[in-house]
Amino acid sequence: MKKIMNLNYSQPLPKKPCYFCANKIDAIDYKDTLLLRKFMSSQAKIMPPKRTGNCSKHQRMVARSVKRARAMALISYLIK
Amino acid sequence: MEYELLFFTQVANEDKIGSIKKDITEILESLGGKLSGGFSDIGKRKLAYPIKRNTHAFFSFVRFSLDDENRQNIPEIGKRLGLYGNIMRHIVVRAEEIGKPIISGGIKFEEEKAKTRTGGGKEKPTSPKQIEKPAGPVAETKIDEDKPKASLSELDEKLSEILEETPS
Repeated sequence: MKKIMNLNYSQPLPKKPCYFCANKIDAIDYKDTLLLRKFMSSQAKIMPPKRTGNCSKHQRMVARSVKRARAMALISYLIK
Repeated sequence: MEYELLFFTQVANEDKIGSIKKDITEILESLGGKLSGGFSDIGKRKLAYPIKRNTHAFFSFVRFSLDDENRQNIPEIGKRLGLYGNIMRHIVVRAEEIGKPIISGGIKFEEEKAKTRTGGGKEKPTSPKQIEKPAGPVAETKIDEDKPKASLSELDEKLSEILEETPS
């Protein structure tokens, strides 16, 4: 139980660098499902930038690509 | 400006893919599109969710360019492709948004995964269930006990995410 408390409240998470800025990626392909999975939760939700460290520009690109991939049935809308 | 069109058809239409491609080229060219390079096939792939009871589909994409005068034809292309009965779904996106035309590793990888799954005999994948198990109320104790196939760091991330969600 103590472990949980620590995780949640006392230690602020170190800020991650934006994955796409660090790797100098300026275009995200919606067909690249493996890459998109990195930025989705286990329930197939789009992860918030707070958790992934993405900058807002790249977060928008990720969100757009995920939504496109969902429409084309490349990734699912939800995982139960 | 360059665009990319991705579409998929029913597996039953896989034999007719040549004529489907011809029809699509006709649609594109009648509205001022110029194909840059041919069609690249992704191939038969499992759909993330069933669409009209189809679990698999044949994917293919093509790049084409439109002159500035013809740019307003994009909605028309969408309309005609929608009315064209042989493809299930399609999407047209600006090519500059998605980078170079490659069949990405992600798609291939998932395809292979699907193959191994079907080879195993079960339709539904068993691995996601294992990952989801920690989502239960006993998640905490489970980490130390068993080592699932997913790497520990991955599991930790998922756990912390679950924990973050619950108190709020």
